[in-house]
Amino acid sequence: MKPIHYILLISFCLMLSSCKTTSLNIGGLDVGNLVNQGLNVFNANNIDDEQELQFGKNMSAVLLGARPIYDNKAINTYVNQVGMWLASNSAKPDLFWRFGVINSSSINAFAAPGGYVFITSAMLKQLNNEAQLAAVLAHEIIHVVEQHHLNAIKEDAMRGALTESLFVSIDAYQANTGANSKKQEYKAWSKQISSAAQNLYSKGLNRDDEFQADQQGIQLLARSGYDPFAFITNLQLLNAIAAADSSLALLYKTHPTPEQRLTALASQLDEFSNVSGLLLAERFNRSIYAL
Amino acid sequence: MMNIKNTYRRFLLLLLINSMVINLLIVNQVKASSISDAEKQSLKTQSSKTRAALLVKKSKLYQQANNQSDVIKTISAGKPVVVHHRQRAWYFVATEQKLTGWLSMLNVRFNGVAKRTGELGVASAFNSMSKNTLPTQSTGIRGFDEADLKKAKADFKQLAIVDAFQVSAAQASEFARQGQLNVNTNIEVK
Repeated sequence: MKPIHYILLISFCLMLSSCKTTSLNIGGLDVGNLVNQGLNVFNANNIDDEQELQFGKNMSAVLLGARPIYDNKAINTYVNQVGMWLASNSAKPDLFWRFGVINSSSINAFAAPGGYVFITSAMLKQLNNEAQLAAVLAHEIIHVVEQHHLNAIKEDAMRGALTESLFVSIDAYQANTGANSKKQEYKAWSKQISSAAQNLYSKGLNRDDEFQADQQGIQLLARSGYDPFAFITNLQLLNAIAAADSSLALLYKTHPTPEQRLTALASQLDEFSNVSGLLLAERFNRSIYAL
Repeated sequence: MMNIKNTYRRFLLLLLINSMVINLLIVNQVKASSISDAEKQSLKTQSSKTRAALLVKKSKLYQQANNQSDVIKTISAGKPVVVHHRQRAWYFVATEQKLTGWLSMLNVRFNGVAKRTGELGVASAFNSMSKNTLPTQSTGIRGFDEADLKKAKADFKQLAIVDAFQVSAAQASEFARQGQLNVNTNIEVK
């Protein structure tokens, strides 16, 4: 090898080394390191509560960009009361828990990291009592507690969506990246988080995570004083709605079928054979329908 | 001669009516013996909420809502039942042979609905409700699919609305107390 080749090789190595040590720090997160070393350094332990919450806020804002929140304070407050009571009995009672009703004719429910949980108005209409509402929220609360969205984004299919943008607010992003144009920078940031949200909510979570959310969700429901079998009723009601119904398209794409979920829960039900939980149908009807 | 014939006809008619009445009484007595007073009351209040269903596996129809009670009959998979109400993991059902009793809820699947009451079809039902309740303008509400997510732009004003609905842990505890919800410490989430 000629001396010039040695010089070029050393220069190239220095350049690579320089890239690795270049670190962009946004909101306390070493995103430069994240970008340079990719997913080798990324796991849930690297993300603190604040970053996880910002991730959740960004994801939730995209969800609400697709369909707005149902603008009724009484109903949203009621859903927050039920949700917060469940969350208080979860393993992470101190997260930034927020619950909301999305105004949509699709039957679905969503969670986002940090403590956001949403139920669609069409899903709410399928329910007959507070225990059934609590069952839907309990499933989503477990996704948050177990950080299933952070797990999902680590998987191969989601790697393209992993960027520093997910964990910072637009203000922090603009302040730290030295954007030339606020408008352009916002567009780039917005595009990145929208892409991540689309990946998360249209591909769905790992099937095992869904089963875990059922298994622990029914326990959370019972622990919170509700009738645990309302969880089974919900799955049976969903099972009775034709799979081809467009209102269920996204739910079916992102979840195991209700039949598969019922089968998976069957062996667990003995645990609750002597549990007397409440349904609270009257309070549900009064709160939702003002009967 | 005519009088004898008419009297004989009347006698036969009375006999027939009598036997029908006795049959009806017997059937009612059998029915009554398998339904407790509490269940009858429950049936009265929930009769409008019955649902047609099918058995997905061969199942025992029990007298009470537990598998230690007497078995009324074993019913084959695929048979239709009408679900009246639930107690824990048991459905109180009526079979096509007019038997009533309790089945494990896991063995039952509700019949499919042609079109759920959620999209346009629900509009009339919800339009009859107060404007302070769930959406009355169902025809204006759209679904939520991948294409919607693809087009969506982050809306932080909407997020601020959600944040404003926040309920504290203390408020949630008071809400639970009002509903007589108590933590069941025997159950762990794991």
